[in-house]
Amino acid sequence: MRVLIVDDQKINQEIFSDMLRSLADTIHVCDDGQQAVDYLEETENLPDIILMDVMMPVKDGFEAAKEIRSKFSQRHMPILFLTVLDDRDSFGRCLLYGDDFILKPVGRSTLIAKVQAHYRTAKIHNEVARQRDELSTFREQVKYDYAIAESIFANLMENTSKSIPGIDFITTPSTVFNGDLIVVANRPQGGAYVMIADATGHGLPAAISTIPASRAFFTMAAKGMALGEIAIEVNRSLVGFLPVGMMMAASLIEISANGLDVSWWGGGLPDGFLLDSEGNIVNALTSTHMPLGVLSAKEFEADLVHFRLEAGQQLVFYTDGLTEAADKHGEQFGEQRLKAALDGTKTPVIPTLLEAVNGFTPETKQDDLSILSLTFPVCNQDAVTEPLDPAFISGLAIKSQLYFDKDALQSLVVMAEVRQFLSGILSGGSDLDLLCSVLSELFANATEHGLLGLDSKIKDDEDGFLVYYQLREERLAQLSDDAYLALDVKYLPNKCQLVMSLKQSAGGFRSDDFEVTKESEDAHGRGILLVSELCDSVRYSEEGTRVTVVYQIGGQTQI
Amino acid sequence: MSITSDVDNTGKKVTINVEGPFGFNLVQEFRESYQDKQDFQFVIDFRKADYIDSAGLGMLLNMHKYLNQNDGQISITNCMPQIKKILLISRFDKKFTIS
Repeated sequence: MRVLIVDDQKINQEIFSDMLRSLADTIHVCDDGQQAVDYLEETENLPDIILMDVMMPVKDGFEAAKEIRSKFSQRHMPILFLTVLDDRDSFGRCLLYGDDFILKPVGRSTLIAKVQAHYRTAKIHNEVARQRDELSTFREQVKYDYAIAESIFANLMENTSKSIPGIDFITTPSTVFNGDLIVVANRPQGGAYVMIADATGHGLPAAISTIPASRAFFTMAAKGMALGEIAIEVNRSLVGFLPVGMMMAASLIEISANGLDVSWWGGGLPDGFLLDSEGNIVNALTSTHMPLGVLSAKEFEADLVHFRLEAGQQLVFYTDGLTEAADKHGEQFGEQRLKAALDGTKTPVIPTLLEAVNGFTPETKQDDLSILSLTFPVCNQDAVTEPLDPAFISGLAIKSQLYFDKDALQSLVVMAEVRQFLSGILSGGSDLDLLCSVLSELFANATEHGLLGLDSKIKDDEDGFLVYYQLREERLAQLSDDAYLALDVKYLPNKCQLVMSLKQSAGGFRSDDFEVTKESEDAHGRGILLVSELCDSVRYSEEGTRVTVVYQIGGQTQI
Repeated sequence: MSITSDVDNTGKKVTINVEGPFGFNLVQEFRESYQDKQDFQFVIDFRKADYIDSAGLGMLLNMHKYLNQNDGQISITNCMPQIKKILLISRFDKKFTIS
């Protein structure tokens, strides 16, 4: 305990110090109020108790106490007045400006008792204040963390396709964070992917485990992968990420472009239901797999159920928050009540089910609760999605030549090398694929008709196709030493244009050789048509040994 | 670059999966997947194909000719938009069902 004694009488300073010596660790003395205020402002260790004489020169005790109170309002320092004034008015002022008073002459036991009592109160007071400050700092921190986490989850869900006719869902978290997940992605080939998932537990820990799952889902969906492969990837992203005992029950659904063919992978969610156009339950979909995040990649099973639905039929999936919603006696809503609410209902499924479960459990929900309904056909007009990671397009102007001599032409898969080169300008996406189609065409023509002198008409005969490519192999093996192909690539970033010029060392191209119409049914000649459709311009020069095409990146975005 | 096929002998159905570029290097493999299966129903899954050239188009036409089935009886499914575009430019929707 640290004590400050303020008294103008040296003898009093001595007496009080002596009385408190056994109690206090340090005792500081001041001669008047002003000295006390100055001392408090300078010291690093504020006293726990102040004993204050009332009548002093320079600044009296009441004045000093007033100043100390206002300057150190954040900290509780009990001020005990030591006074000879015994009128009621003075007592009142003592309690107004300080915390207590002791009449002079001061008895030893009274002083010790009062100092100890006030020390206890001050200690408790300061401890509570410290805890209060700690709590409010903690609360601010949590509020900040939640705000950040919420925006992360909002960003995560931004990829989900919001309005595909026929797909309807609701997911209501029990806290701010949701361990349930319903995500919908457009299928690049048309149609859609849907995932409904329920991570173990609820709140933030459960919500966190939905992050890798939804990332994997969207990445795979953007590539148009098969549902089984998406299931494998989502599982892989969770195994090793989730602590033991955490897992994710889920149903993954792929709807093909016609809106009726469905593939389904189910692991660990309660039975889904198939309803006919009258709303009657026709069938239950029982999961046959373990939840995601449990089995290693080796053990994981990705076999699917495929079925074709009829117009008007519905699929309903939900998480166990629905069936396990309990009333005040602890009884659960259960599958029987769910089926009763569902069966034969013509009204939309989700509001019907919510009404039924809310009527059963008027109290607040205990778990995250989600319902997904698919009404067939699911017509996704918005089939083409922006890729998750937009393709990198170089900002540098590029001018380079790729050169293929005899050895290269014989040993390399030319287009694989060219694609690798082009991906330095354009990292992916449909433009890269279309460019490869164009160049593949030009290389095929230059090689087969130019260098190898093959006649496309061979392909017309029965089995001509095989003969043609056998001949190609043979002639390629006998290619003359000075044969080459050279591809000049000029990339103009400001125009987003690629000018590609392919030079062949032998043979020439006469355009009347390749006169084709769109209606042509021959097995050859289609290539030049393709190139001219995909490119802004196609030009032959140098007696047909050079072809130059201009390709506009982003020009095909209407696909 | 490869061709795999799932043959359902009871349902008389073959699903041919194409992976990577669909061009002349696959001519043998592709042919084997439909040879001697005139009475089968064919689905070609282009989900993992990344581009197609005229050799690939020719291979499809060859298949159509060889199987001698009605137009539209062979389905090409799961085409990425860029491949679908090439099939449509070449009017393959007249001979195949493209979805």
